[in-house]
Amino acid sequence: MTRGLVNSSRFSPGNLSGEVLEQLFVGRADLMKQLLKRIHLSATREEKHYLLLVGPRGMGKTHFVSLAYHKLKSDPAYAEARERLKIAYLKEEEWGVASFLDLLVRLLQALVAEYGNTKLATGIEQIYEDFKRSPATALHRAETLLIDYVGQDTLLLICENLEDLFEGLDDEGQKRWRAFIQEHPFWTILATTPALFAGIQLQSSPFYNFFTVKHLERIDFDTALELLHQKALLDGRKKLADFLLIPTGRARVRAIHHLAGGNHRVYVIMYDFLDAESLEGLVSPFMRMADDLIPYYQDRLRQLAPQQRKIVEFLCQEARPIAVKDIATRCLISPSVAAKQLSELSKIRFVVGNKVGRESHYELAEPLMRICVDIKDNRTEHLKVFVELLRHWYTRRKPRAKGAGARARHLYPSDPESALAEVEVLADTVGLGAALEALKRLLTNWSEQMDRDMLVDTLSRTLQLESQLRGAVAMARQVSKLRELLERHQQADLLPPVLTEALKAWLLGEELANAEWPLALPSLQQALGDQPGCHLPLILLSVAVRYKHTGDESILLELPLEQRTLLLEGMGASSEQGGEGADTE
Amino acid sequence: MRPLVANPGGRLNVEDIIGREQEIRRYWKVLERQGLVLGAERRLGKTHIVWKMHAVGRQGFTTFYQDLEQVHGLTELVRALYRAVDRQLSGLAKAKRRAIDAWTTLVPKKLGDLELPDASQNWKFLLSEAVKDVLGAVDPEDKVVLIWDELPLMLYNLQKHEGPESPIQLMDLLRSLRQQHGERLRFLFTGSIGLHLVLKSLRAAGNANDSVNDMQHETVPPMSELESMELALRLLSGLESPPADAEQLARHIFQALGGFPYYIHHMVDRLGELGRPPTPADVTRVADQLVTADDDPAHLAYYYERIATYYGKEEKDLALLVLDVIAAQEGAVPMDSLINQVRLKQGGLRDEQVRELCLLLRRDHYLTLEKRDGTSLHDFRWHVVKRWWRENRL
Repeated sequence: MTRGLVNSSRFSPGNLSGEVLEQLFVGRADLMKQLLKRIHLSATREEKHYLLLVGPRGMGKTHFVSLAYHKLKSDPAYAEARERLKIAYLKEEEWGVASFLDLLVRLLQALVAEYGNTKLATGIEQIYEDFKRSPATALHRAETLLIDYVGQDTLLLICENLEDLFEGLDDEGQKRWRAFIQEHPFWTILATTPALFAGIQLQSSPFYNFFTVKHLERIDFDTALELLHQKALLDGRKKLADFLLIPTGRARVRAIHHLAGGNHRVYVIMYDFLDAESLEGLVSPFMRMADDLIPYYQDRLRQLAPQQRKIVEFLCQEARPIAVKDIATRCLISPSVAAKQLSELSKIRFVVGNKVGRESHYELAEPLMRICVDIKDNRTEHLKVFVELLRHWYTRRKPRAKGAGARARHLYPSDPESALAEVEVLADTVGLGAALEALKRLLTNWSEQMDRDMLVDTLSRTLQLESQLRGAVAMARQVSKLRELLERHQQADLLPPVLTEALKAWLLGEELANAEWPLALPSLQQALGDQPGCHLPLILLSVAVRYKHTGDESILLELPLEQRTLLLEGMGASSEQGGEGADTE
Repeated sequence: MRPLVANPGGRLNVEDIIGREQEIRRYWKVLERQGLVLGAERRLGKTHIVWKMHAVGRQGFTTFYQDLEQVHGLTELVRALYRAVDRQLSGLAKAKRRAIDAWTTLVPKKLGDLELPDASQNWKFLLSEAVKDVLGAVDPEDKVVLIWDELPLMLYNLQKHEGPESPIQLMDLLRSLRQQHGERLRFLFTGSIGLHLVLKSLRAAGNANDSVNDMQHETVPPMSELESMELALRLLSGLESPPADAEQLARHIFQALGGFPYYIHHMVDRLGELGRPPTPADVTRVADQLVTADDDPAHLAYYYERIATYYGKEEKDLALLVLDVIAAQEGAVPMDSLINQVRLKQGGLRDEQVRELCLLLRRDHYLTLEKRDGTSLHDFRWHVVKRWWRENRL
């Protein structure tokens, strides 16, 4: 079977050459080694392994099995297995299998494509002839053909979308297949499926617990970075490859990471965006990607029972984990039915449960699905707001030049940087009120020449200093004056990044556990709640404060998954957090 | 001791099928005098046991293995039997097989104006002939053992495709064949669905006979502690990062899961994903996940669902009560104590009702009976099922 040389086809890893597959394969070397070892054992010994890779669409399943195939065909480490394997690699979507006979014919055709055996090809034609007289005779011929062709070797069946295959086979076809495997133990199988399904999970199913299941987990930040780096090298984009290794580049990837949710394919799709001047343009490519994914999610929804679909659509709208009883109420079903349906949805990885005490709260397992549904329904605000937050979160602020602070002590500020330093010194020594006076002078004199990033950095630090030295309540009281001042000088759009920077700093320390913070929140809300771009940082701040004060994890569930992970990352609870100043643009 | 690679659900090398020697010896002893019905939960290893018997063999026996879940019609059974023994058949018998193949599969059923007899109406004759041919193909000194795996599934298929009469008549014919060829013919039936449950439903459809009361019924027991430890040790030594104290960990695995070989494989497979030497805490965590995970990966809820499917209303309520009481206790529960506790929750019950129910639950592999100092005690057959029951029901 030959594969094309199309580089890095984002939807068809099956079209990539072995070398490209190898280069873009990241983070799963151990799993690959494990599975190939089992296939090797299956080829060289009597034992036989039946392997099933599970992962939602875009997790890299096709890439994985394509690479496994390539290694078995060419890697010297598997020469011994290669001698004894007959590989039948079924196409990614093997539509049209409606019986066990269909499966056998497609398998035989795959073997012909792989090995070019004309006798086998002739035998397949004879099956069609037999079928005209008797289906049972055709089935017997197909079975005999396969048994004779495999002989003393081991048949490796590689097939994707196993659930679809099982659906086509139905109960009778599955039983025939399983019995055939039991009676003719020359099979080893490497299959994939987006989610576990009844055909292999229920005790009443023929293939119950037949497969050794391996879940393809979402890739973490470092693996995603490695993937994109390798892709850049592969595409000959050395500048981009180098860019990805510096903090600014890493920051860009981090921003994508919060939306991609570890989905392999999303990173590859968003790869084109990495070149953009800044994070400004993140929304458009994301919306284009969503266009590609919408048909896939619609199809998945269609396969659900009506009550399940109702639940999933409700969770799409809610965007945060919801308790079972509330889901039941809003979906107009009884709690016991809701619990049962959620359990089923959990098994097929549509939803994921978060246990808080004795109660489970459910949310969509893939935030990407919710975002795609939002986009489809022209509800793009949530995405835009979150992207805006990511932009501020991961934008690196230029620090002031050294010594500017010292100069400011002795001179009336004669340059913007010194003026900024003056503001910060006053915030440190006197208070935010005095700092705002200096800021007024600064904006009056230097507003045109001011480096906005530096200004954001300074203002953020003044808020931090005020809350640290004089308390959160005092800081919150001054924020409305800050807003007035900035509005007067048409600089109110600085407030979102200022607040976000301050938020990041507050999250890292233990300051939010201070008793004043719950008292400060209403003032902050009053001062900034209606300022565009401040709403989401305020929500995150509120959740963080309440969480720090109560330790109640259910508070975190007020946030959708992508916001929750960002918050936890900010609090240093995620293993993917960078240090302060790292991974920002 | 050769290391093993964990292979939950897969096919093992015959020499890697650990233990079960005691069971296998007993089964051969039974087969010397009569047929055998072997029951057990799915994934307990009963098929591996019969494969081992088939591969290793025994002096004085010739065995043939068939997985019957593929059979959906009686004439198909005939063809399947001939194919299973094809290598052994003489040239004449092979020709006969081919003729029967043609007769039972060809459409249409007319040759010119001549009506060909419908093979499906003559299946009894065909099956009897097939058995005779099988016996004829084998050394006359040998007993022939037809290992029919998943027989209850085939009966279910027949009932679904051809109506309840077909499986009823088949079972009667098989009994008659056993009597006719009693010296040399043996059947070894295995099934995941209890054969007795399938026959019960056939009796409800009108068959009053107990067509397998001439066969010995055995239930594949859990692996012994020694065998389970050996399995766990060999699997742990096959890990990329084996544990520091493999014996301690193997014991921990046995205590968590009991002697259920599939779950031992599953456990070690999961431990292998850690990428470091596993610890007892890891074993506890994996075992906990099996019984508490929302998505019920082992479908242990099946043990609860099955009660509703196969038991009448009164039986079901009492069965759940008995199981709840036993699940709440650590260890096995003496019969008297069990009766008292059940009666506390549902007054007016007679002792006999509880005893009969316990018998039924033992036949259905929920419970196991232990005798200690003259006292009968009941416990869940499977520790992992007991844990699930306790975590999810109580």
